[in-house]
Amino acid sequence: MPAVKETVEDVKGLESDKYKYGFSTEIEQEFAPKGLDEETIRFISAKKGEPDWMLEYRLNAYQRWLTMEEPHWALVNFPPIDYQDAYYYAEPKSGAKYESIDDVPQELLDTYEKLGIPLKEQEVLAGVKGSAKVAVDAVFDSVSVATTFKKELEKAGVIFMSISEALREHPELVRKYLGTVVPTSDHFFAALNSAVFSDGTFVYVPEGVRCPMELSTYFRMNAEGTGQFERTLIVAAKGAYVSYLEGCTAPMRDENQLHAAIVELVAEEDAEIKYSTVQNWWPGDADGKGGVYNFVTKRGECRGDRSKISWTQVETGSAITWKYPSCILKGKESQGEFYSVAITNGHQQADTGTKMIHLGENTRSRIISKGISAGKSSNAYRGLVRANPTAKGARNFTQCDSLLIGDECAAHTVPYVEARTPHATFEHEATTSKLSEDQLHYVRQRGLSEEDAVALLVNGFCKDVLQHLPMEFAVEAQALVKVSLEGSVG
Amino acid sequence: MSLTQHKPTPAETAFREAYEALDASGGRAQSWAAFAEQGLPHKRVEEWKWSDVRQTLRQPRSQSGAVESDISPAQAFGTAGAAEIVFANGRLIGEPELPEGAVLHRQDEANPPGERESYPLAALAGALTLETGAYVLEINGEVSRPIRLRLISEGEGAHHLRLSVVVRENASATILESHEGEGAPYANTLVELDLQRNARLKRYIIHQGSADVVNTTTTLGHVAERAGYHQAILTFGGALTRFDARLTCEGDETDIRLDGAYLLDGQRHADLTSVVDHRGEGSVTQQVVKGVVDDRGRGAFQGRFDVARGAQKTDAQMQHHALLLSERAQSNAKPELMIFADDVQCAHGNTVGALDENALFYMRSRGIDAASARALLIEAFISEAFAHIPDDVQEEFIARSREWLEKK
Repeated sequence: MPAVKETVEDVKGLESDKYKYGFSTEIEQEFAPKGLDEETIRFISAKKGEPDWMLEYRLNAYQRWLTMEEPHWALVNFPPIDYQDAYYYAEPKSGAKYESIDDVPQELLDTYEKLGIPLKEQEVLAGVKGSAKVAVDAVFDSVSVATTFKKELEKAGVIFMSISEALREHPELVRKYLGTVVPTSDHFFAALNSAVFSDGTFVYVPEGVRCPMELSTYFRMNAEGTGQFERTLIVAAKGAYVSYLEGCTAPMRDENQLHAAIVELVAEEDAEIKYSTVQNWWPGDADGKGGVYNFVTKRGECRGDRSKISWTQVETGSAITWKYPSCILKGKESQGEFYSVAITNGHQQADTGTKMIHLGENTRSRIISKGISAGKSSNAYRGLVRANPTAKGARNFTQCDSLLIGDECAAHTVPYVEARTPHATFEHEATTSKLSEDQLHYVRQRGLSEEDAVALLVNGFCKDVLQHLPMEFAVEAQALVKVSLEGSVG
Repeated sequence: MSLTQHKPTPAETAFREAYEALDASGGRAQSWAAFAEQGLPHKRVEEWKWSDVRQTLRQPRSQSGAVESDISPAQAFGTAGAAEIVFANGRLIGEPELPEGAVLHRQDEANPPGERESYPLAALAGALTLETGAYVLEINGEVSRPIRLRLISEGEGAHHLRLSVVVRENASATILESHEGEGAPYANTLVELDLQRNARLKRYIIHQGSADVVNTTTTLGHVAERAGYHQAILTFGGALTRFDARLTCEGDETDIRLDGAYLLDGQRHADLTSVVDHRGEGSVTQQVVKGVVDDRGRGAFQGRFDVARGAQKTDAQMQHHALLLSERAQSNAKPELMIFADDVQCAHGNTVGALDENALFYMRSRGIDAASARALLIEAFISEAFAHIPDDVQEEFIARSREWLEKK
């Protein structure tokens, strides 16, 4: 089906609330007691059967967290968060991990089906014959419920499992890398996550291995009053390659849900990690009630020479997005990329961007950011490009463009450029404008409705970014762009 | 962090003593309260992360005494044949003879307190200015002869000056402002601008002094309908130099230019910061800032354009480009756009890099020696920031830059 047609179909299928992932699943769940103290942390750690050093790590992070203050420099407003009024752990009752896909409760499978995640391998094979396979790790509230294609990945030597499983099966590997890119004391939300993270994904691609399929995690926040704190750790050893996709949804709820995740990427010599996100957490209703607070720390370190980390994100959901996927370019000739589309509508607020820290010689980075604001939303790009004195020959190119749809929205650009060596070349361009009347007129004259015309032009505006998404995501993203802008015109 | 929350630094304590020795009239008390609340800005304050005033002013400073020696003739704008207003260490020298349509007087309460209290150093200037209230330069007609404003600083003390410039409806003037400093003084100046309907003010600033001068100059301006404000700054830096301009364009169709260049060597620092808040419709704002940093110099540029809801058809363009000439040179930039209206054209560009080796090679292949080729390329690079200055003043800007380049 051509993407444009599919976009139109998708929109037709929408309910009046415009958020098709807004259902919640009735499933028995077990919670940790509400609130956060050392007991909660011990509970989570015990529940997962973690080694002692991990509990130690968590408690240490908790102590740090107590001394920190919630950051307020971002261009977002939210009422004070009561960290004691949330559940820090929720799991489906029938046990955390299932032996086979058949043991997974039907309600859960139904949920994932509604989300369009092909959990069963057969379906995958039947559904997309001949196309690339995608291994999926599905995280439901605090636990990972199913990981597909494990056997095939094992054959290639790739470790792909939930992080709690990895802590049991490969504790030495996790210990070696966990917290080395985002230390526990990094900032308020990093410390909070380090203390209470419940689950997430661990990927280790050994030396010289090109991961045979796309890896994917779907995060689903279901339980009421629950915060989701997942932790993802991806390590690509020398010469390895992996492409990883992440998708997120949450049910519609009146209250705000907190999501404070950490993603750490490590690329050794000649390794490459491609990390793509389609973030579609519940953004709240048309009056700005409810929605997810998405306070996420994503950081990758190009440790080895000639390594490469590429972030691609399509941010359409969440009431508030506070997210800066970053690259620390340590290895010589390492490369960092950041491609982002952030769309805000209704009362959404986004403050997102990236950091490119050039440490090694001849490191290169590229930032392409497209921000689209509609309705009463606010959308900010915030970025840092820094070259330390050691980064001889560093190059950066940054382009951030903002598009405003309607006269009640806001677009901001806050780039920091810090050059500490004359041998770096930094270029930065930013523009802010509205949709071109001429283009709109032309497209409408060809018979498209105003909404279709806007979606087409916005998709064109985002093309530079969308083309970096893996195929499976590109189509979904294009549909999302359209859906997110529903009701922004007329 | 307020002085009541942290232990005041010796410099802050000295400022308090200076304040207590003055009489608390003319809005001084409010200004002092605002400063005491905020303290000296330091690098943990976002807007000051590249200009740490608290760290630079470690040593306490008493109020500067009067300049004892004779005032030397003007260096900057010496040939422009202008009327002259001279302040030395915050004190007005002599009785300026101003052209028709321009008057300088003192007013106890020129501007009601409020705005300046939001900026710690503007508040400090309001609290510690030697003369109560402010000097007011009032422009009532079309003043064609430029007015030279010399701000001379000497010694090791601190002095603060509050100056208001009011340009009445349809009036216009050109100010040639020079900041001259020897020794290691701290010169803190607050300039409050009031540009009324259809007024035009051109203000060209050259700051040149010793490497130990600390200079912070804050401009708070209000620009009414169809009024124009053009400013260009050339600074050679000091221990810490910050020119900070905050303009609120309240009326429609205002016309703003905020150009500048910083040329830094040794361990000099310069910071050009500006915020232009567009509130009316159809305003045009343009900004070109160039920086050249050698040795261990540190340059900073922070520019921000705000476009308020309803300020449609705003056209705002910002450019900052820096050249780093040595291994230890630094350039930091933060070009921001804050847009709340949709029918606008706003853009910024920012680059940092070294001299183009290919261009150098080309020039050398044409028989130009390395030093001249570099100087020529740098001069061409910075001149773009002076492109909109009237010819005679532009010559002065270029001549100053050339002198600096020839020292290399």
